[in-house]
Amino acid sequence: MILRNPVSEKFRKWLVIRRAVQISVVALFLLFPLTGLAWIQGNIGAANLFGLSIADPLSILGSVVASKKIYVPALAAAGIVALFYFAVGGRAYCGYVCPAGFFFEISSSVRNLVLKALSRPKRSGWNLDLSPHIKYYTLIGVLAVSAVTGIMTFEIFSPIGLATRVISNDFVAANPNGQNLERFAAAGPSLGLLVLLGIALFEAVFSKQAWCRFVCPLGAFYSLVGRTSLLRVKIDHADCALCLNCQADCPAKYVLDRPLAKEQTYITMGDCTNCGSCIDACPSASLKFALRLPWRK
Amino acid sequence: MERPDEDTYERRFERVREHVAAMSRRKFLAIPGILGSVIGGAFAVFEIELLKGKKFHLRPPGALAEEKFLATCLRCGQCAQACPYNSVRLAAAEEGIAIGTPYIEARRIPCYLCEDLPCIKACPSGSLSKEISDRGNVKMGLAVIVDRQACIALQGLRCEVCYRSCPLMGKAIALEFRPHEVTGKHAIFEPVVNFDACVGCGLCEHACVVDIPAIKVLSLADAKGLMGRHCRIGTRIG
Ligand code: SF4
Ligand code: SF4
Ligand code: SF4
Ligand code: SF4
Repeated sequence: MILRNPVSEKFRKWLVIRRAVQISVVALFLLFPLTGLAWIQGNIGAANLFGLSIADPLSILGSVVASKKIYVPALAAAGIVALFYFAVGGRAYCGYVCPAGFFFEISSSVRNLVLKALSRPKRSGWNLDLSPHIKYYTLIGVLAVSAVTGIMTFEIFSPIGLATRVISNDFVAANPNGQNLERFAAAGPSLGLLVLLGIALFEAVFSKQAWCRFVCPLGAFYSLVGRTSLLRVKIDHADCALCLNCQADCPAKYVLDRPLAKEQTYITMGDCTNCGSCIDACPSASLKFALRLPWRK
Repeated sequence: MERPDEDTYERRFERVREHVAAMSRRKFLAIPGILGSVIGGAFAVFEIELLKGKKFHLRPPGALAEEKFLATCLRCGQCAQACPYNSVRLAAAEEGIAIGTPYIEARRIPCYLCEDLPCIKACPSGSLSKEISDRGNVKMGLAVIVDRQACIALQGLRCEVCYRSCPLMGKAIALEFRPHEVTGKHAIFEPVVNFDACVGCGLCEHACVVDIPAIKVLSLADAKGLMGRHCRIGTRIG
């Protein structure tokens, strides 16, 4: 945190890649409602990708717990997705795919713009910092409540669901189901949109990406997947000057603690999103993506 | 010679190690977390139980019973996207626990009961049961003449619009004739729904010519009575 080199002018390769993927995901889900081209149908909860049924594994887990029944095709659809994130890094979902995460990331950065306009340092002002463990309690909580009530609980308040339905079902002019378009004209934004904007505003004022960092049960689920994931950031201690530029840019700073202290060569904590910000920030190219066997430290 | 305030690699490394040691000494307080989730969870259970079954949603063909449906539907909207008539919409956040689930507003666009049931084919979760392959076996709800005074056929006018709109015309809705008691020489053509055949697609509700439909699709629970096992009907043939 002391030796902060001026790397901000550097081309941030992984940021560009990540933004490209995030935008493509949204565009892909807009494709069918806007053009009728059926590459992918459905939304982030469950979709049909070129004829392959894929589904959010936590959603399927929720439905199994709520209905106390197993529907094999749905399980297979979730298994494919879980395997994919096992390979590319659990919370890579958060960093590259999740439409709510994308929205909150962008809306939270309003905060930085405001601070910049006021010429105040980047991390000044209100900064509500909670424990990243909270999300595991939300995860257990939504599954327990689903089991007791027999209703899929996370789906009721999920901003991910709200966001994905805005993309796939709401603001699409060519789609007569665009109920919110009609409603928007008649009565202003829907409750769902207000909830999304409310969270975004809260994060912009009090705590950047608070939902994703502290609360989201899906983030917690993918964090568990990420602990054994194959693709992880590897640190080469030989050239690392401990400038801590990487940590300054990391959205989950604590994941870099042990690797920097030379206790590990891989980032093993599940909260790493494989966003690559640390790789972009490192002036000595000591960080890179590498294949990690689940038991390696 | 190293100045005491110089930021050397060794000093930075020492700070990083100290930080890691401090972090591993820090204990996450599990008690508030557990307490919080138990209270929050209990509150959520209470809320959900209160909201259960508040409103009837006409679900797409093949939908499981409402409780099962809310337990399995992934709110993915694939049924809505598969429907060629855009009959299926997804519930807004105002709908509480039904948020994001597909429903049909028959008066707006009814279900046209496609031969091949593309909505069922599209459903990845089994919430729209694949066991239904014949459209005659669909049971979304039941059509009921909810207002006999608003139904113009029952007032003696020739209408039959609901009867003719029904995809199972003659089976699900039949016309029963009887003399018009006021004029003495005309007949009343009463549309009568046969609950055994009605699939609840809502085409009749959609077609009904009066301002607020006199025939509506209700949930099975709201529409159906139960005769009681001790009743013997001597006039029933077969
Ligand atoms: S934490 Fe949740 S909302 Fe945030 S990016 Fe991950 S899955 Fe999406
Ligand atoms: S450790 Fe690197 S890749 Fe992982 S979240 Fe932090 S910045 Fe992103
Ligand atoms: S049967 Fe056809 S019209 Fe009816 S909901 Fe399904 S796809 Fe739509
Ligand atoms: S396709 Fe099935 S799981 Fe998806 S919204 Fe429709 S009923 Fe629900």
